[in-house]
Amino acid sequence: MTSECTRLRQLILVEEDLEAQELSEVRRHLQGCSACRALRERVLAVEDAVRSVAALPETPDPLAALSRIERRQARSSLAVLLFTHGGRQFPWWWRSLPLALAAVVAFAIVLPALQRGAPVRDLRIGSPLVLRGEASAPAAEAHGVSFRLTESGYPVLIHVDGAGAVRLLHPAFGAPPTRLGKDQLALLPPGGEDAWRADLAPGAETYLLAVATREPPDPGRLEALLTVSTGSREQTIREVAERLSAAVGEVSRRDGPSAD
Amino acid sequence: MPGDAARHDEQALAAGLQAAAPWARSEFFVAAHDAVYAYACRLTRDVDLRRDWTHDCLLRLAGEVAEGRFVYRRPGSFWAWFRTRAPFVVLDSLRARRRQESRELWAEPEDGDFPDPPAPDDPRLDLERLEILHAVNGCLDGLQNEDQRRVLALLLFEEMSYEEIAASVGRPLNTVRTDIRRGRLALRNCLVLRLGLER
Repeated sequence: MTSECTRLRQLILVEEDLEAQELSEVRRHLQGCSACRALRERVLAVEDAVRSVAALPETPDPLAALSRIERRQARSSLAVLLFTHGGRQFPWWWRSLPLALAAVVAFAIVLPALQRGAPVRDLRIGSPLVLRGEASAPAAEAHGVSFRLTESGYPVLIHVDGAGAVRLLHPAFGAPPTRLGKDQLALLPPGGEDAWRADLAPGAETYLLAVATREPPDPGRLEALLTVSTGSREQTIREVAERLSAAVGEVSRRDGPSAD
Repeated sequence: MPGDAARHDEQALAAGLQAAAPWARSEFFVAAHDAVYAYACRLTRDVDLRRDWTHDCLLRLAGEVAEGRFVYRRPGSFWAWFRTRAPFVVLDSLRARRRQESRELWAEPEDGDFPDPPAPDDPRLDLERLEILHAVNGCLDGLQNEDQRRVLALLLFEEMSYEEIAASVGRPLNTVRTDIRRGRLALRNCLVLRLGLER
């Protein structure tokens, strides 16, 4: 680069704005100087690059060519932009919406879990006639329980007599677990008056009821519930209740009057 | 179409943006969003990038109007300016992303994490061209004299004649000529340095 190049460089860069005298001087120099000509061409190429960028097209619906999912994403993008930078006033409930949604989700998760813990309602103790509504006074020597389930499941009923002897009343030994429907009236142990009378010993009655709501309980595991360490009747009941709770679910307890 | 959905007329909208009025920003975003988003969709498949580039572009353009970079001249001029200017801003975001990619080449990119490779026949996606556009934007932003910057933007991005520029900015033609000459010299000196044109 010559000293002439350095002197004219500022003029070369603004060739469009030169007066006639300056312009002719610059053009004479450019004719004989390839370095300055190249610089001039590179500068003009830069501005051509700027002009070559096409403007956004004028179309009635710019999103028309997009897929449905992309249009939905565009709507979401605009909503976020307006929410964060648009200065729009959103209704009061909009800000509470995440909290409300969280509450609904929590309720939807927690409520069934609570119901799973206590799936029994209307648990009563008495003779089958009373439980069916066919008699007004209990038959002292023939007890059983009635109840309804808040969701379908497999009930497991254990009886502890006055001496602390533990028996599995339902499902009966060797019989498969029975599934009961929601709100269906259940009478346990099943069968007629004779069966109840034969099954139950006289004396103080305690019934422990649990319901497996997901899958039928393993009969072998239920039999194991009946093996308890020696202790008082109340200790036996507590031990059986704990095992029943661990094996099946939350335990409901009912104590009947002594038949003695 | 930008402008069709606007409730205020174009001049009122431009004045509102210049005053940074919230209603004007909202109205501008609603009217301009889809055009910019569709443009961003042509440059990348990444949903997050499409959204980010669109938001950046609209916020930047609203800011430029607030800074007086746009001068309302006649009906249609605001949206014409928008349609010309928006691609530069989005392409600037694309350039920044490509620069970031080139720095992260050692890392294994996840699927869909980066923009699609440029189509060979699409000059808009050429990295060198993106660098040029970025340099022009940067040099223009770097001009100290506000009058020079404004008239050069009108000259470069809207291709207005000197007379039109003088009428738009309400200044004498000779003053505008001087501003353009000084601004152009400063801009081109900046470009020569930034792009290494004097090799």
